[in-house]
Amino acid sequence: MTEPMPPIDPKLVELLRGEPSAPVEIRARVRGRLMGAVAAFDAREAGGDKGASGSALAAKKATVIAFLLGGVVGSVLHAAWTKPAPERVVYVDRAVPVPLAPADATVSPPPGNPAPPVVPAAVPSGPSSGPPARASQLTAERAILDDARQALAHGDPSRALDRLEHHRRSFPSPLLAEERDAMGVQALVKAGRFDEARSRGESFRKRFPDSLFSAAVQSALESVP
Amino acid sequence: MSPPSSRPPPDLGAIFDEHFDYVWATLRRLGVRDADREDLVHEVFLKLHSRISDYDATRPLRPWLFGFAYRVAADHRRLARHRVEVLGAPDDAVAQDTPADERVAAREERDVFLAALDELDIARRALLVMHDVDGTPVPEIAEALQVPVNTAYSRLRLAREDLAARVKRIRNARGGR
Repeated sequence: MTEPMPPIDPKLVELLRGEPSAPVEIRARVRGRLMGAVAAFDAREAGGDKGASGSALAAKKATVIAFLLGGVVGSVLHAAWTKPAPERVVYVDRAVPVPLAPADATVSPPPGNPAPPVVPAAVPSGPSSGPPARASQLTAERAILDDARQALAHGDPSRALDRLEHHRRSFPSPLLAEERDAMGVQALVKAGRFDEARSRGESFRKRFPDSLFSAAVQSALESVP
Repeated sequence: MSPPSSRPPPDLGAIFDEHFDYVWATLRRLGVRDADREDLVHEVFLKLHSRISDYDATRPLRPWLFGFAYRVAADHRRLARHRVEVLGAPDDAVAQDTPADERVAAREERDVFLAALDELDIARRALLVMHDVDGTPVPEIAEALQVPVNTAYSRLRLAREDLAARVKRIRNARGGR
């Protein structure tokens, strides 16, 4: 197969390749939103085991939460775009119901045409345009929390709690404390440590009264028998 | 639909950290405004999450990821209230240490190119971005966009022709050289 037209002028292509990286605050914010949405989705999935009536109730709740969060997201994003990013990372969870909708992109790889995998299996190392120390801390915190999340997803709440405690000890001034503490409640519930989970959940509500992880925390506590 | 892979699905956090900048830049190259990019990059990764079990780890990830970005950008563009934005600030892509007349010429050339690119249908724009900017082979583009390989080649040729014609027209309209 030939390509009769020449490619775009390389100098012009460089214009498109020269796109600067996203500010580290935006990167962290999007990551927080994404992980919050995934956590809420996973919590709903876990709640779905209770039965069909529970699922219907959860669906209604998700709709209400999504509606309320829409307004919150608008406020948060407006604030983020109109003033310098605050020191505290804000998690936005607007897309709670979105993962339920089927995406329309997929690939049907042809057989016998293998290529080396490109997905990193270990700690991420994405570039960042932000201050190195801050970006580095974010990366380190993410790695630990991702580890905890994976442990939780694989049914190992003990390891998840261990990683979360490691995070707490390692970062006296964490950027992702809200995400860590929310995950802590979920892990305690899965570990069957219900009293601690309730206590931590109460502390979480007091410390982060407006948290958009609240839905995930509440959902975890509601699953306590 | 891809066959189920025997490998465990890749970790979303790792994919995000590795490819966030790529998705961020791709949405811009597809004409998404700065003000909309944060929401859309979030949407791309959410859609990816919902289909992550379909991913075949023996295949390159970026073309697959581009497919999500393309569809999110295309859906966004279909909404009448969303308008695309010409790439780049006025002086951000022309080296300041070049002579003034060359800077002016380069800037004009760039403006014409970006205006022409901005006029393109997003499907053609996507092919140019994917192939000429990202360097993705056409067969992989065909996979990502779910079109036959010959169709992808044909569309790439048409996209280049279309872009060249628009550059010429805009240059003439501006009294260009």
